[in-house]
Amino acid sequence: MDILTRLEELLLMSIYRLKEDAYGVRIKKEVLQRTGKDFTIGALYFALDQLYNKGYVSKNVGDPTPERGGKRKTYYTLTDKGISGLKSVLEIHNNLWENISDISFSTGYDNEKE
Amino acid sequence: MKKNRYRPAKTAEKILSLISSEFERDAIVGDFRELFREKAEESGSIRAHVWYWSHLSASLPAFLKWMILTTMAIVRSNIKTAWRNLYKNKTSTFINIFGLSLAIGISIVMFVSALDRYGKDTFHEHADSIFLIESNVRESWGEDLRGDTPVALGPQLAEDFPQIQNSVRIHRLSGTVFNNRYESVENILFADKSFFEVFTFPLVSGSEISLSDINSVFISERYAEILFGRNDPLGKQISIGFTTGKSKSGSDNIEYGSRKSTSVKVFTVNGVFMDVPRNASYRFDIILPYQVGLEIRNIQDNSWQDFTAATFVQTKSPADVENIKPQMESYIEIINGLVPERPVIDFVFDPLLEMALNAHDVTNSLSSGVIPLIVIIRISIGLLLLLLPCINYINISIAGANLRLKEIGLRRVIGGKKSQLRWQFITENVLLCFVALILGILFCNTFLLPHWNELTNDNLYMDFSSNANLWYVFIGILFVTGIGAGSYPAFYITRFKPVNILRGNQDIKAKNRFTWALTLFQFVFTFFIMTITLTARDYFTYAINMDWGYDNEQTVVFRINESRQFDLFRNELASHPAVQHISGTSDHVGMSMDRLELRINDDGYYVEIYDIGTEYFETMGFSLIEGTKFQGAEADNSIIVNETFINVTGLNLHQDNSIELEGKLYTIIGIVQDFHSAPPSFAGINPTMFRVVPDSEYNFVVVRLTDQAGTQVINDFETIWTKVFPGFVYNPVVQKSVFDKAYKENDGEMQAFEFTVLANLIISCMGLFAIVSLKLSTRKKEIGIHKVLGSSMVNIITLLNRDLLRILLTSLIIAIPLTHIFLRKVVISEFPFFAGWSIIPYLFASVVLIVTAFITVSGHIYKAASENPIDALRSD
Repeated sequence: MDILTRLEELLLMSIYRLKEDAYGVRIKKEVLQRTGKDFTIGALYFALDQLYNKGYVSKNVGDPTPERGGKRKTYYTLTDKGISGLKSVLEIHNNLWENISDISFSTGYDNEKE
Repeated sequence: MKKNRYRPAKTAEKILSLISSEFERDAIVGDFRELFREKAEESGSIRAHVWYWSHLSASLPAFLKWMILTTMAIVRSNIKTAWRNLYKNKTSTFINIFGLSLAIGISIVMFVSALDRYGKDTFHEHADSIFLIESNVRESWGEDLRGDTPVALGPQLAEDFPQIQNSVRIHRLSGTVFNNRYESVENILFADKSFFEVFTFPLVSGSEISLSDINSVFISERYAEILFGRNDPLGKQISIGFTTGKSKSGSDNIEYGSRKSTSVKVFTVNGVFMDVPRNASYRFDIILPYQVGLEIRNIQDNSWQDFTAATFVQTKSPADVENIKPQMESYIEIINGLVPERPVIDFVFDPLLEMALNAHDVTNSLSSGVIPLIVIIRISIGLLLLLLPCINYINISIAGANLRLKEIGLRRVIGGKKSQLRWQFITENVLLCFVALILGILFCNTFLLPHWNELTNDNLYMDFSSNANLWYVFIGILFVTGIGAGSYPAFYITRFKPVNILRGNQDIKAKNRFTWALTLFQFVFTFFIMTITLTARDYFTYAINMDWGYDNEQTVVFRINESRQFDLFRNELASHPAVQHISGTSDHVGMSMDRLELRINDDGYYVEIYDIGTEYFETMGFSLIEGTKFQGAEADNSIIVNETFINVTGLNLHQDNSIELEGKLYTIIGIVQDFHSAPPSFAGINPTMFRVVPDSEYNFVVVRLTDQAGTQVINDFETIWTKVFPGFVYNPVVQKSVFDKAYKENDGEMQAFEFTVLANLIISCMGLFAIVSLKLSTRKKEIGIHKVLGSSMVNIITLLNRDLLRILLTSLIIAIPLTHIFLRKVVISEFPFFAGWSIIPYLFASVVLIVTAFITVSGHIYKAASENPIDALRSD
């Protein structure tokens, strides 16, 4: 299976954290709050659509509410494929960073150069 | 009030919902609303509005990307489905592709020939700054833009204007080129020494400087091989015989140039140039120094009275032309002082790159122009021909839709939108057309174009690189045939309600007026073009076999290069028993004559004039209607004219019988019956005069054989010829074959036309075949019931053929008057000797149409009618 891209990981994690409440505006805010990346709504839905096409998330439609001008929300939930994708990202992440506690990188690399 | 605060601008929301319509529209619009409301509550409605608009525009790139990706995915899946469908319906696909590629191939030839005059001469390095000088001349009938200019103009311009870098004069004359292994009459180009500097015709060997050496000749690589085979041509000698004369017009052509005496010169090949590129507007194989041409024509280098076929100037920059033009008044004064009858109004600088395009409007242009009517006719034939396979596609799709109804219904029910289904149809057709286009291009390039060029002596080719027009044609064909023909069935079929289709209630009407009209059009057009071709063929056969007004079977012509040897040759020939008459002559019917403007009582007439020997009339077998032949000392002041001359000028033998010609007074002594001096198919008869010239001006010897002698007897004359004219190729011409070249071209065009007609018939009949077979498959049950109820085979076949017969008869009823009107209005004006209407072409075309149509469908119908009815009925 393909490794998730950073963008995919980001969105999937946000959806996971939001649980039942994962729809457009909330996902946008969640991503902004946690990563500082500000999606436009267009870009967000484009990315979500690609996640959906790849089978990482599923969609279901909510009820229309007056504050949204009578439009329905589309809620996103992780599929099994989405969950296992996230799991393997975590695993890869752990493997990569194993035994590295000092993040400065500077010393060893600089020494070699000089 | 409060509610309105939270509502974004209607336009903005509309735009958003439009853009997102293919995606999660509700969710997206809702999200925008929600955030808008938030902003509004936070910092007021104005800020919120600003936010809405800016966020909307910031979202656009993502939406755009999304749209493109989605469309591509749909197109990909459509193409996959389309392949599957095309593969499944092999017969229909074959008929569609075959017909379309045939039509595309032919129409490309038509379009290429129509586009031929574009993109000429682009290969010259200095093309931008080269101009052809043309002059506007006032004639009695109006203004005439001429391509020929006074001989002195070019050098004078170069001398007077520093902006002009170079001037080149070009002239063309025909001459007989020969060496010890080859002889032929060629069009020879004479050019000033700056020719190779101004124009880009790269030399393979030799040096450009030699063009100022009057003993030099330059030949093309192609021609070098003809003359010398694989040997190195450089330094070799060739002889060129010129028949020289007084003609002042710029472009002599091979058949009708004015010839007064022959001189043979020997030239050394001092340069070989690469073959002239295909998109050159004027073509040549032999170049001689300009001075040689002046000498042959007996003209001074600084003459303002004599003309050269073309004068080109190369300026330092293209804009210089504007400064030069107003300063040319002094030249106009000189010319108009010398030739006051036809004053020059002004000079025109025609850019080299536009020369070929403008050629049709220029008298005596170096480049040959195309008659606009022919271009229009060719484009119309191309377009109409493309229409036929499109009609097939539409008819087949609609007739075949019955079989696809279930698929369509199902697709609709599982949520396929109408537009998706339509695109599916259009994709299918575009794909079909694309395959056909490629096959058509291949077919055209490998078969049609080479044959067309061979048949019509044309020089057409597909130029994919330098001429963008061709690509427009291809894209146009793809667009028109693909989208145009695909749309109707797409809209027609998606109209049906899926529920009705699946219930089985929906049945496509057996008689669709539109498809009926289309089929009708196919047959009308096929009949139309077939009848015109047959009529034309009929006419040409008639014209070729017309009485030419003299004996063309038993007369043989020799072109002689030494008039001094004439007496010797005549005496040698006269003793041969097969020879009845012999005459020397300067001009000869079908080979050489002069045209001049004759002034009679202030009216000008363009007449043809032949300078002949005294025996010429007897030898050719002309019949004199009135008056006498040339006789004795009177002959020098006598003229014999043809009937048309009398009819046109109103002169006669008795009172008004004197003509002033070149300062000399002549008397008309005889009237000869009209005869053909040009191929009778297209050329009418012009007013013509004959006068006698002395032996020293003879260019031809004409021999009339006895009626018993076959023309093979001319082989016997070769020994006499080689004795009298050693070193010259023996090349007798039977008079009957003098127009063969023109006939061959004509015949080639007819063959091309007949091929088009055949393609037409094939495409129409294949369409018919497909429709009938599809229609029959939906009428199986009906036939079965008829049979079970006791109908005979004959009854059923009649029943099935009734529709076909109706359509054929209707198309004939429409086509016959249409064709007749067209032939009367357009074609007859081109046929000077039309013999009267013949019913045969109409009859023949009708029979061919009906018979082929019935043969095409008979197999199907017989099979349908003879099938066991149980097979058809059992399935229910």
